[in-house]
Amino acid sequence: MNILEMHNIHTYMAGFHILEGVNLTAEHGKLTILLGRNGSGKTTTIKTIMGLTPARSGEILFQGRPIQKLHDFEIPWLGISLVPEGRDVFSQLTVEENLLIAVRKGKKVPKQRLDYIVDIFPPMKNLFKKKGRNLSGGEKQMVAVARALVNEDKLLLIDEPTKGLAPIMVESMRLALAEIKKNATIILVEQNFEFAGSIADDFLIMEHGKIVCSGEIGDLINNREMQHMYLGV
Amino acid sequence: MTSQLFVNILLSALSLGVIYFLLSSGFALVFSLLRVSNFSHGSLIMWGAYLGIYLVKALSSFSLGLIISAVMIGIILALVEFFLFRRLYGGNPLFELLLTFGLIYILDEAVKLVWGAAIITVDKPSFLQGTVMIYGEPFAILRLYIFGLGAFVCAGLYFLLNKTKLGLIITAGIENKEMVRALGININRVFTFVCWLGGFLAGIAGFVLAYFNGLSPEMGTNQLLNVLVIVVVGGLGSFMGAAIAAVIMGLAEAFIGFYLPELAVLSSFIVMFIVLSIKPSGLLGEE
Repeated sequence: MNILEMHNIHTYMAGFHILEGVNLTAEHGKLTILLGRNGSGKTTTIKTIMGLTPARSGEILFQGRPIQKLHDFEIPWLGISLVPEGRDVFSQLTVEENLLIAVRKGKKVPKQRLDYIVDIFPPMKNLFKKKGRNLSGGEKQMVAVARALVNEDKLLLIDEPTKGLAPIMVESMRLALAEIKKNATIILVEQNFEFAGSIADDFLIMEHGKIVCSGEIGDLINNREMQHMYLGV
Repeated sequence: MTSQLFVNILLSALSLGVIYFLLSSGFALVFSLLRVSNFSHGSLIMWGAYLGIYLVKALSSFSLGLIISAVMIGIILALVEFFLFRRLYGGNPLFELLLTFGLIYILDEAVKLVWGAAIITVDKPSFLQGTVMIYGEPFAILRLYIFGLGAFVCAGLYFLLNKTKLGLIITAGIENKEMVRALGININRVFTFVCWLGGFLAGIAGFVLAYFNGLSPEMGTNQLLNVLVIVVVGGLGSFMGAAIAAVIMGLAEAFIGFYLPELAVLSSFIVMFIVLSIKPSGLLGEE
């Protein structure tokens, strides 16, 4: 069953035609990886799903419901969370406040979600009182992913979680995502093919604002020619 | 200088700082979140003064006059945000400049139509008249009242911005509006609320100012320059910076006025020159 479908999506930014008819599907309970070279439209695809760069035409279905006409702030309420490329942890707020501001129902982070977050990222328990501006790159990435977990959302959109991280942090992120995907569907934008291949179920490859290739990740891992043609691996 | 005189000047300086804080806090708050330079802030201050004094007489209640007028000035700015500012976000800053200057003309002329252009003196209520002795020197009760009001407003704003979820959203929105929206928060509603709050603060400032300077259609625009200097010295976009700058301005004006009276008029510019020479982004502004 598909949790998300995009049909012939066209998105423009500052007059430029960025997404030129994107068609994609993400299956419920799977981790789908969105691959492609720089500038191919991966981040814009994620932002279009979130309504941050709205589609000019086409249809986006989340659990069968069209969402492309909703306001950006209404989309998370359907059960979709974003971990943006730049992490966007609020620097003036503490880690605790960064999590609190993401809570949609209630006045604090539910204890069972907090325990879940600490289980996935054990170092988080020592960070709660630290301001966002005092975090390292790896810590910011942990907080950005943790912020997307406070609401028990059905779909997580995660944009380049390993960008700029040390190898040890990349490995802990891999373990964290493997744990998270047991309870949520994930669409992951990633340039690190080795990382992608180790955790994904399905793949999508973008080129010039379109999905040019898709399938099970095993097919891509076993096809050197496709890796070379689309990803330069 | 005797210690009594020093204490007296210090208290006057601090109460002046509190008035400057009240005058500039609404402008700073709106600018820090919306990035809109609301040049009609001075005219809203003036409306707060006229409306407040009118309501005090009509309702025979000082407190009700203060609260109702401040709430109404807040509603005016919230409506301006909803119907006008919202159309300009992310656009050419020139339009915002033209809009807020247009508002100055409308608000100033409207006051003249309702209350006339003449200066109106304002009588202090009996409980604000007279002086009390502090450290052997007389000190106006009105100034003490301003202290109390300023402290109350400052504490309220501190609580709102630092201890509530709405405050977290405002702080986060100042930094990254897109991410706030991506968390499912309707930032436009927050903008409207912040404009209401900015207008509310302008209303309080105008009400207080009326008891010092009386009422005149120019009373708000005359203060606009002070407001802009305070916001620049505090650091554009920093609400706390503006609060600190307001107190420094009050201290500078009172002490320069005492030691070098011929330079008193220039005191705010002297402070601005010194602060910006050392830190061009202002006291708490980001580089």
